[in-house]
Parts: sequence; structure tokens; C-alpha cells
Amino acid sequence: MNSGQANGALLSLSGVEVTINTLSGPVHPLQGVDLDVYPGETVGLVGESGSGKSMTLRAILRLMPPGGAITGGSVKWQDRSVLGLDTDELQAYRGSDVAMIYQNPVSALDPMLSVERQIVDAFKANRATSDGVAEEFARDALRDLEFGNPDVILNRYPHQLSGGMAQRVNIALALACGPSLILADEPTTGLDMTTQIRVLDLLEQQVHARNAALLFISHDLRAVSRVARNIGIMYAGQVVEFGPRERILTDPSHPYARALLECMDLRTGERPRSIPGLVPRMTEEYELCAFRDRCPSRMAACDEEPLPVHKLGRRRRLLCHLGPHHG
Amino acid sequence: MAKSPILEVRNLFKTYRVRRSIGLVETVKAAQDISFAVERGRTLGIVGESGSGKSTVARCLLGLTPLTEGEVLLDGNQLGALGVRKMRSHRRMMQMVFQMPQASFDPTRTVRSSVAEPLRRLRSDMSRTQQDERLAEVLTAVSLGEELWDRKPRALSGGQLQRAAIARALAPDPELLVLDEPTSSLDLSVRGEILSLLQRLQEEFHVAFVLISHDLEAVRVCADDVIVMYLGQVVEEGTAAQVFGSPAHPYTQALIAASKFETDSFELGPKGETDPTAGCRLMPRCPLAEEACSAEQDLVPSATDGRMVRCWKVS
Repeated sequence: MNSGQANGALLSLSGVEVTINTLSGPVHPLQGVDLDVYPGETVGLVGESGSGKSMTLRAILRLMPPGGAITGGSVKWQDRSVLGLDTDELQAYRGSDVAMIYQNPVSALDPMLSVERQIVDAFKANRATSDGVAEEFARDALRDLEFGNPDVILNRYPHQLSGGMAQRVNIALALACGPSLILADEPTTGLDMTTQIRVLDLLEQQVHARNAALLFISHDLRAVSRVARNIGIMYAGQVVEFGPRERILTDPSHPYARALLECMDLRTGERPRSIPGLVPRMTEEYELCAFRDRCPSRMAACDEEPLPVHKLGRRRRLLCHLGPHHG
Repeated sequence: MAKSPILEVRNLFKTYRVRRSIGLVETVKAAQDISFAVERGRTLGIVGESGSGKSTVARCLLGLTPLTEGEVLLDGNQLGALGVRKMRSHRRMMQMVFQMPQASFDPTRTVRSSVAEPLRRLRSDMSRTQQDERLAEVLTAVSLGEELWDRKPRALSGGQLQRAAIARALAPDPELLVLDEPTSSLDLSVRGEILSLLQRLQEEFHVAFVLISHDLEAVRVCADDVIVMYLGQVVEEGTAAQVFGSPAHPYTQALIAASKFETDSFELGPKGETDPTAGCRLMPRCPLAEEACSAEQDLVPSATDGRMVRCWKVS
């Protein structure tokens, strides 16, 4: 499953729906997610809490929370259905095809094992090879990630690492599996500002150096735009707009994306802006646009007709009655 | 006679003793020689990365931890010197808003009952009716819909709950609010709502703010004056216009560049494994560092506009 098909997407999500049965009734965190990731490309997903971005990564890995299931749509890895994989195939898919970097770098590591042991184990899990080769890989990977003295770090345990160091070790772990796609869930959110950028840049460099693709999610559009060429904006369990970074940052079409940009732009002497209203609770399935209650551009069609999908060019997509913004 | 500042901190030191391993105890200088004043109705922003000492300063202000050295004066009275009874009347004058609204409310009580708590405890001078009127006044001032007053915290969104937390802090009619990362746990679409609420409340109630945040943008638009901290020291201090308009200290420059994700402009080296205890604390990371930086650096007024800077190269 390791060679990408010519011009084909590496990963393709189409109409993905997730339902979680809770004590207080079903919740629908994903309500039709469409997303393609091509080989070697960097894609970012931005959304606020509850928008479904972490659940999208879980759906890609088929890691459902208790009571949760993928109830609609398809997840395809190189034209093969991920939902149809058996346990062994799934095991091979997780890690060697798709690796994951989590938000909390220290708790993502095993506290009982040295850095070296963890990287060596991850490396050997996917290949028939010796400890020596794996150790060599670990040392090189840490050097690539700008650890001045890899041998010192290899002998350390997670509690002896700072947040930034631990996240770089997690990147090494993800790379050790030799994946074609790396998923990163808010990998720099807990880190200091000055450390954050360094970790983002190293992640992007290493992903490029290995010709892997990256799917990066964050609530911070600035962090996402630092690493991702194409950016999707999530709202209420859907990717409501997708397009090239420059477009999304300067002139997005979806009213939610436009409002988010205004919220980011704080100006002295002006009252900071916000988006009135509340994020939907996802206990219902939306036939109509889920943003319409908060939308400044709401029109009659928004209350009557289901959301249209505008496909604009090869990669741009928009879910909105307004259509693309011309301005 | 000019009125004294509502809050004055003089030469505050705080050291913690930390047990690193058996037999090895290190002292951590979390705050070193911090001095500042906050005028009535004004906002002081404190910025810095984790470990810079900004939360330590907040804890010292509120008397949550004893100072190692120095003085905190609230309305001209030294905090540590007050007896229990007087301390209570001072508690009324200084209230706190925490980072995580969900964690700062009792989940079993209604919002109304939690917001009423400081009124009942600190305003025994008011009758029950007056207290109830004040309660309705502050809950309305933060625009919290009346239908939410008798709900439990879990029924409120993060933004709604943070508004309730601000109402609770305002309830006893304080002169000063200490806000510790008040928007950090909130979504971007809600951040502006809380910041503009704070601005409006300051105009309405003439309360002073100490705003502690790593969100430099929020501090830039809300604060009148700013102090920048690094490893327990103030490295730059000035008006928000000075500090954000033309940052002087290399650390301030790097922090502002990083917050805008503009790394090409000014980049610090990686965070150190062990931080220096003498000379300029930033020296191992600073691209401008040279030998003279290993001498102790003082916080001195800059020649150009009088702001305070702890760096011999730029002051």
C-alpha cells in the first residue's frame, strides 16, 4: 500500500458522518466531511472547539471514541476503503501509512521507556531490521530535528524533556514509521510562542524531506498557514471552505471564514470583534446551513434549501448559498 | 493631594525551593525585584512566556503566596501588615478572574449562587436586598441572559461562563481586577466578545486591571502600560504604544515577531536547558549577545523615550 497512484489522492474523505451514542442521546460531530490529501502535500484544517477537526483525524485512523461509529460516507486510502480493512490491515495502515502526532507531547510518550527505546521500537515495528540500524535512524532523526547532542537525548526519559523537546521526539517517532501521511493534532498548542514556530518549521522541513504528506489541524489559523499550502475551514462537522492558503488568508468566501479573520484582526482604539451567537451543539443533524443563525449574510435560501457545494477549480470548494466572494 | 495608585508593588522578590532529586534542593528565583504601579481605571499588561514569572506575580498580588521580600500596597496600605478583619475589606477591593471558567465555578451550584458568594462574604455592610440588586446589576452589566442565571455552569458555553466569572469578580465593587489569561481557553470567535466587555466595564465601573496574558494582541489593544518578563525579571516596561510600537529589548522583539508568526524578522535561539543565574538571562538565546552581556544588567530608562529596558545594548 505504499506507492501512490498517478494523480490520485493519497487520502480521500467523502461525506463522512460520525455518530456517538451518549447517555443523553446521539451526537453528530461529523456531518459530511469531504477532504482530499494528495501525495507530498500539506493540508491544514482550522476550526473552533466542537467543529469536528479532531474527530476527522479519528475517522481517518478509524479510532472511534466509546459509543462512536462512522455512520456514513467513505474514507479511502489510495482508492482502498479504510472502513473495509481487517484488524491486521488496519494495524499496518496505522503507523506505516498514516502516523499521528498528538497535542500533548509529554503524555504521548511512554514514561517508562527511554527516547531511544521508543524510536527504535517504532522503527522496528514496521520493518524487519536490526537494533543497530534502528539506533542509527534514531540518532539521525534527532539530529535532523536540531538536537545538538542526540546521544544525550536518546538516553533520556520523557519527564526529562521540555515540551518543545518532547514534541520534536514525537515528530521523530512519527517519522520512524516511514508514513506517507502524517496527521498532526494541534502539535504546538501548549508550547511557548517562540518554541512553537521552531517546531512547526522543523515538522514541515522533515515532512518535505521525506516526501510525506501532512494533515495539520489547529484552532490557530496562523499556525496552520505557516505549514499548510491548502487550508480547510471547519464548522459544525463540515469543511465549509477549502482552498489555497493565500486565498483563505486574504479573501475567503464563506461568511464564517471572513468573520474569523475579522476576529483575529485586533486594532487599537476599536472594540475587538466577535461572532455573535453560539456554536451548535451537534445533537441534531443539519439539513440546512448550520451557521445561518450567526451569519451576517443570511438570505431566504439559507432557511429553505440544503447547502449547495460549489466546486471552484481543481481544489477550491465552498459550502454556501452566497457562492464565491468577488471583492 | 494626588491620589495614590490603586496598586503599587515595590521590589517584590519570590524564591521557591524545589527538590530536584534526593539531597539536591535548588532555589528558583520566580520573581526578582519587580516594581510597578497601577493607576485607578487603567490597565497594566504583563506578558512573557511560561516560566517568566507572570503568574507568580499575580499570586503574590492576591496574597495567595507570601512574598520573599518586598511590598504590595493596595490603595496605599501594605498588604502583609493587615490584620484579618482589614484584609477582608481589602479583599473586596481586589478580585481575580481565572483562565479556565469551567474550573473556577462550583459545578453543583447555580451561576447566580456562585456570583452572589463574594457579595455575601465581603459586603456584609449591604442589606440582603441591596446585595440582590447588585447581583442583578453585575449580571446584566456582563450581558448574561437572565435565563442562564439559575442554570448550572455546565449549561453555559465557555464565553458565557467567563462573563459570569467577570460578574462575580465585579460584584463586591472592587477597585482592581487581576485577570490571568482571561481569553486563553476561549475560541477566537468569543475572544473579542470578552475583550470588548472588559473595555466597556472599565469605562463603566472605573476599575483598574492587571491583565496577564501570553496573547500579545489582546494586551496590545487593552493595556495602557505593559511589562515584559523573562525568567523572573522585568526586561522592558513602558506604555503599550512604546512597547508594541517599537519594542526595544531583544526578547520583546522576538516575542512580538513570534506572536505574529514573523520569524524572519528576529529570532531567538532555542530555550536553554539550564538558565544563567547571573548577567543577562537571555544571553544564551540572544543573537545580539556579546561578552559585556555577562555582567549584571539593570533596568534603566532608555535615552529616547524614558521607557525602562534591561539591556545595555539598547538602553
